[in-house]
Amino acid sequence: MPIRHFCFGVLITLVLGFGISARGEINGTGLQIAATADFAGGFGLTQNSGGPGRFQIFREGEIMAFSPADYLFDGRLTIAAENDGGIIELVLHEAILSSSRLIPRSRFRLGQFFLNVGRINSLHRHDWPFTSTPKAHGEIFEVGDMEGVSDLGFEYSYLLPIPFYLDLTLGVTSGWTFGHVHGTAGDPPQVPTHYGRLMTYFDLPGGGGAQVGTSYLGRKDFFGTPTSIFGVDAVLKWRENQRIVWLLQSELWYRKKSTVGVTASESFGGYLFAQYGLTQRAYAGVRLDYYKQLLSKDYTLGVLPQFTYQPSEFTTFRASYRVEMDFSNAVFDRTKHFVELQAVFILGSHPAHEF
Amino acid sequence: MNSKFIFLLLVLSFSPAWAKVSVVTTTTDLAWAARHVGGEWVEVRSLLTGKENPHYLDASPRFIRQVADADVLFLIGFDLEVGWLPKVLERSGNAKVQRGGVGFGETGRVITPLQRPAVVVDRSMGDVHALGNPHYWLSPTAFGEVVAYIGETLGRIDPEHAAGYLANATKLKESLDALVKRNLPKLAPWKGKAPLVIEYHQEFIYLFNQYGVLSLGSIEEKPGVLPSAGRLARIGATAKSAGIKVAFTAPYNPQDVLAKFHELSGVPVFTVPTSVQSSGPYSDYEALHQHMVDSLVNYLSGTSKGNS
Repeated sequence: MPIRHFCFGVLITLVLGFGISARGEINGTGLQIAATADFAGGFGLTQNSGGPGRFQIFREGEIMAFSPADYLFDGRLTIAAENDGGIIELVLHEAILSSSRLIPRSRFRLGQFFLNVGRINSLHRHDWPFTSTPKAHGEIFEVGDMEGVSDLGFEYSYLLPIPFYLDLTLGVTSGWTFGHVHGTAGDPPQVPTHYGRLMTYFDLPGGGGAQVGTSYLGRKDFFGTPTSIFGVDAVLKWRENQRIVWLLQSELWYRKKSTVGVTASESFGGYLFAQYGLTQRAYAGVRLDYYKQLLSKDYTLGVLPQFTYQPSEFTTFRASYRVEMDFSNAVFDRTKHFVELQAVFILGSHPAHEF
Repeated sequence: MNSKFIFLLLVLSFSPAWAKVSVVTTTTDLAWAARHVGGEWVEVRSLLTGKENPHYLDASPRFIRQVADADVLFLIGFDLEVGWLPKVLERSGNAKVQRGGVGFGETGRVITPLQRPAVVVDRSMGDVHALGNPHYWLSPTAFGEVVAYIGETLGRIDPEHAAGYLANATKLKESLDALVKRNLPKLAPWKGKAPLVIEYHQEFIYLFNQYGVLSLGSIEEKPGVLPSAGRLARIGATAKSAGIKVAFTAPYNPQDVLAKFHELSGVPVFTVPTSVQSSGPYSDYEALHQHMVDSLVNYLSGTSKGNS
C-alpha cells in the first residue's frame, strides 16, 4: 500500500475515531479511542549487519477503540498499519469480544487477539520495555522481527479461589497460520493451535512484586508437523511513585518441531532484561539474548544496552546498541552491530497497563 | 482425584450465608470509614497501605486477588485510580464490583469537587483531573458525606443490618463534624487572609478550604510534572516575597526538589501522610487530621519554623 494511502487512511480514521469518541462520551456509551505511533528503526554498522541504509522510520501505527458492548460484554477493535519489510500494511490487529462479568473469577476473549503465552507475546510492541524482538522469541514463535503470535480463537482465564494469586489461561485458535501473519492465508491444521498458561504473583522485599508464569503451546500443521513450545517467564518490579526503580524481566523458551521423515528440530533460547530508573524520566537497561539449535552447535548471543527517556507514560524515546555474535559449530563466526532508535507516542485513552 | 479437586474448588468458590460482607477499598481512609460504619458485619481490606501515591501504581495481581473476593469496592473516583484500577477490576472477574455492579462504590459521586476545570483540559497541562481535584478526603465535611454514602451502600448490600450501618454512619459523621467544629476557632485568625501556605501538589486544598485558609498554589507548575529549575527559582522567590509560612507535602513527593525549594525560599517544608497509615499514631483518620491542623496552626503562628 503506498504510504500516502496509508497516511490518508490513518487521518480519516483518527478524525472519525475522535469524533465518535467525543460523541460516545456525550451519549454515555463509554467508547474510548487510543492512537499510537511507533517509530523505530535500526541500521547495521558493518557489512555483516546489513550495512548502512537499512533504517526504517515508521514501524507501526495503531488505532484502538474499546468500550463495554453491553451490560455483559466488552469490545475492542485495533487497526494497525505495520511496516513489514518496507511495505506498509493496514491490518486488523485485534477484534475482541470479551467479558469479565459473565462467570465469577473468569475472563474470556473471542475473536482475533494476541495469544496469552509468555510475557511480551500478549503485549503490544509499543508497550515492550525494549525496542526490538528478542532473537529467541522471533525464532521460536516464527514472528521474525515482528511482534507476537496473533490468531482467531477463544481464550478462557480463571483466577483460582485459593489463598494466593494463581491465574490459569486456556486457549484454542484456528491454527491456519502461525506467527505474526496477516490476512487469511494458510491451510487447515491437523490440530489447531492450543495453549495454556499458569501465572502467579508474590510480593518482594522493598515494596516490589514478582509475577511468574509458565506456558505451553502446541499445534500440528496441515502437513502433520507437530510443534510443542514450553516456556517460563518472570517480571520483577520495584516502583517508587512515577519511577520504576528496578525492572527485571526474562523469558526462556524450548521448542520441538518434528517434520515427517526429518529429525526433529529442537531449539532453546530466551532473554534477560534489567532496567534501572536513573530518575522518573530516564532509564538505563541491558538485555542479554541467547538462542540455540539444540541438535547442532550453532547458537547466537546478543547484548543490547539501551537508554530510555520517558517524559510521561505517553511518550517514549529510546536508543539501543545491539551486538549479536553468531557461533557456528561452536566456533565464533561473526559479530553484527546495530543501532536502534525508537519514538512512541500515545494519544487518547490508552487502557491501563498490565503489572 | 480430579473430582476431589473440582469439589474443593466449588467449596472454595462459595461463601457461607453467615459470612461477613467483604469490603475492599482503594485507600486506607475509605477502609477506616468502612470499618467504623460496617462494624462487626464487615471485613475490610485496603489495597493501598497509605504510603503510596495513589495516582501512580501498577495493576498488581495482589490487588486483583483481593478484589476478586469482594462484595463491595469503595474507590475515591475523579479518575484518581484510573491508571490501574480498571485493569484490576477487569482481571478480577468479579461483576459485583465492576462499574454497573451492585458493589461498585465510587465515593466521589457524592462530593462536589474543588478545582473542576472550567475549560477543556488536555495533556499539555500535565496530569490535570478533568473531573476535579480528587483529594477530597482531607476535608472532614466532605468525608462525612462519603461516610453516609458508605452506610447507604452497605445497607443496600446487606439489608439485614441496614439500620446498624445507618446508625454507625450517622455517629461517625457527627464525630467528623465535631472535629471540624473544634478546630475552626484555632484557624479562624487566618481565615480568608492573604495566602500563607503553599503545597507541592494540590492535594491539601480540601484541608485548607475546610478552614478558609488560602493557598498560594502548588510548587509544581503542572500537576504530575517535576518542576524545572526555573520554575523552582520563580516560585521560591514568589513564596519568599509573599511571606509564605509553610509548604505542605506528602512523603512520596520528591524530597530533593522540596529541599531545593526550601533553600531558595526559606519556607519550611512540612511532610505529612495524606492518608491514614496502616499502623502507628496516624492509623486513625481523626488523629491524622488533628496532627495536620495543629501543625498548620503552629506554622501559621510562628511556633514552628523548621522542616518537619
